[in-house]
Amino acid sequence: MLYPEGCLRGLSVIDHVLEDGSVSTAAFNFSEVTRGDGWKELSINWDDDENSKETLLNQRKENGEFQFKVGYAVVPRSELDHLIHQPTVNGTLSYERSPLENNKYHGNILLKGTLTKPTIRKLQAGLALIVSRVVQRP
Amino acid sequence: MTTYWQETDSKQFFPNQSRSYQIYIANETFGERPFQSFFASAESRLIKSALETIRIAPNQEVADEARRFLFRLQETVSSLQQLNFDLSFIQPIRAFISEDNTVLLEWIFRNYRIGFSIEENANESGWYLVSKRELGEISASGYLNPNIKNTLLWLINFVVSHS
Repeated sequence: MLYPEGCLRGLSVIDHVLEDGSVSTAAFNFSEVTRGDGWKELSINWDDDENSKETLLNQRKENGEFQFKVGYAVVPRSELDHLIHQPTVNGTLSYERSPLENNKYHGNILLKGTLTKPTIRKLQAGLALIVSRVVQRP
Repeated sequence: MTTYWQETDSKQFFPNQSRSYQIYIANETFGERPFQSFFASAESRLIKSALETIRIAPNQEVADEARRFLFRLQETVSSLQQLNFDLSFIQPIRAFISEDNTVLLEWIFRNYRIGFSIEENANESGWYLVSKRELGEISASGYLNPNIKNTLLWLINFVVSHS
């Protein structure tokens, strides 16, 4: 499976973005639900081409509001791969493509469902730390 | 109106009230609590912003727990200041509320971050420290157990060493 140089994490809470452009660990919350194959999901868009950003920003909730009111954080895949292969992380973090009917760029960062809460928060923090930039909606 | 004195070296303010140092028998060992009531103002610069944020937390039990933790952090920093460590440059800790009602207390820096998660299930609350390559790619975490004091001191020392 081919992956682009980065992925985009949609941001919906303005308080999760700091003045200096960094983003809180709280913006990388994994789903509480563990899938049948043992993974928890964190929804992303793969940044395959110019339309991936527009597709993410145009996503709307059922009530018509934008899903990601604030914008998105860019996570470089090289940094993500590096994090995944750290000895303390080995085997507990991964990613996938998971295209949707209206969003071919959709994917997930995956986390093993058996991890303790402090370990999950630590990995969330690791993801927030490797964000290369935050792009806010105009 | 309250008159405030400034004790210049530590840059700490404390009210000029009837209480004074003289009423305490000064046991200047680490952790002498009576002094801390002078140095740890109710909402210091270190924790003030975080305290304001958690006022709107949807789960007030979690908010109360976060508040208790913040005062403990403040107390630990104050106790170090009594030992003449200049910690006035430590940036305020920030609070964030997650979608799952967790309160995350974070020190966010360019190449590392330290956090404390106050969970709805208090037994799952924890701390973490992650750093980038230039700081050794530290990846550490643990639970917020009653013996967190030594971990807190280590984490504060990490902030002091890398600020």
